[in-house]
Amino acid sequence: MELTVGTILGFLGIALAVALPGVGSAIGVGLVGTAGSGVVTEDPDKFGQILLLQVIPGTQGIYGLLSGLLLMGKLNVFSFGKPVLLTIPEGALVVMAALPIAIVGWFSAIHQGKVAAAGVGVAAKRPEELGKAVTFAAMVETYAVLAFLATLLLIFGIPIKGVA
Amino acid sequence: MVEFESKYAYSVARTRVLETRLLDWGRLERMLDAADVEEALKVLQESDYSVGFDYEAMLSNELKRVYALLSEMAPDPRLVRMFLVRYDFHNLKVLLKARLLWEGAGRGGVDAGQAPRSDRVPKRALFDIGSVKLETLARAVNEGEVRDLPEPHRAALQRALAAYEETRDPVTIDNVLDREAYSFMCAEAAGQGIDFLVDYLARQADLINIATFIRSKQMGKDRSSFTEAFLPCGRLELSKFLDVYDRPPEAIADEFAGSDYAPIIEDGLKHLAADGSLSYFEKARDIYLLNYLKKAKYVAFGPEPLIGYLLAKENEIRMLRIILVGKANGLTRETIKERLRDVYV
Repeated sequence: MELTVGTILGFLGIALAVALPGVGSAIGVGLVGTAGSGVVTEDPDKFGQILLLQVIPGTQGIYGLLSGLLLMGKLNVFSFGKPVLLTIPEGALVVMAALPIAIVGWFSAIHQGKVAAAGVGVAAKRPEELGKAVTFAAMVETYAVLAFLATLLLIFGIPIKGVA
Repeated sequence: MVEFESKYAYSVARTRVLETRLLDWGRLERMLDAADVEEALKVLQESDYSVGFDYEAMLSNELKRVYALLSEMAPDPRLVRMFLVRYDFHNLKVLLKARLLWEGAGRGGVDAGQAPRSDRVPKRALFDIGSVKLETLARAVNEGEVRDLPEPHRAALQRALAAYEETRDPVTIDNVLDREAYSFMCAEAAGQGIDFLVDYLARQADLINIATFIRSKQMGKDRSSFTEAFLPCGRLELSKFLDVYDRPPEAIADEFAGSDYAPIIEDGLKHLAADGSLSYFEKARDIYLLNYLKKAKYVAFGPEPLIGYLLAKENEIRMLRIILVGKANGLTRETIKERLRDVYV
């Protein structure tokens, strides 16, 4: 079986969809964790509240993985070495479909991390207002969800016939 | 992408918790209500302070503890060190004046090579805190042994001595070292790119210069002694002060009517006319600066919250000293309260 350039492009799309939002989430979650350590050093009882803030920027990575899994299914990656052989335009479409979640997931996770890390200050000073800090951070989620939705629709819309 | 945020995330978040432990007005009011020092100290139980019989020791320990804590937390050691250098310069002033005083009296300097003896330099006049060890400072002042002294200190000491040679007036030492301390702080703040601190120091220098102006007018000093005491870094230039120097003190209100400080100057002058004291102006000045400092509480990432907390803590310790000394000397509640400033929280 000869691999096609299209298939290589398809794999690239999958890699982008999984990797970039993952990187963003790691940075975001890491930042909140750093801030959280500062609070927990002084006040270990705040751990639970801060954990709630810390998971928020983690969702982009999950959206990325889900997009990647769907694409893998589409490309028959799970067939142990017999993926669908894509034409170059088909492979290019896979990359395009991956881009929304790849780009938006990457940046939104970082920015969400900043908002959530700032929210750690709220957890420290006014734990009763934690809900508001969570809401601020969740607002950023909107755009990750929109991008995820776009990626999903694009994946479903890719016409794949494969190389005969 | 998040280097700046990562740098400060930990220390700022930790500072947020520390801020909640600053004393609020309620606590201070309860201390004011206390009958004596002992009762006032009881209010401090369940606070950061390790309450003991000797409140001076308690306050100085707290200052040391806060500096040690912030040095450990701060992402950049220079941030805390530059505040510690202020104490070095203060100690240099005291040691230098003590030496000159003793030389003038025909005796040797302050104890060399070890902590100054308390019978020569009153212990309370020195801060047991700083970026340089007290012994190093004492050795530099008394023996000219400046090898261990960092560069800004060395240069400042030499300049102070040179200036003193000319005037033979101990006030010169205060003036030169105050100026040096300010220049150092401003240069450090600018060097570290902390605009907030540069701005704070400029406002502080302006307000101190205004107070110096009014005081030296009041005491009938001449222009040159005012120029000597003038602090650098401020936004209000020396020439503006000198322009109105020959006019009555009220002229300064007109001269700086357009500045931020206009209400403080005006109120200060009114009280000055009423009771001849600058204390109202100084209180208004401190409250103004503290209010400026409070902006730091709303910065999510950056050195500002750390600086704000550090200066707030210094302010708190100062206020506690006012209360406790007042209580120890049997001052009334009102007299003490009048001297208090404001709290950061």
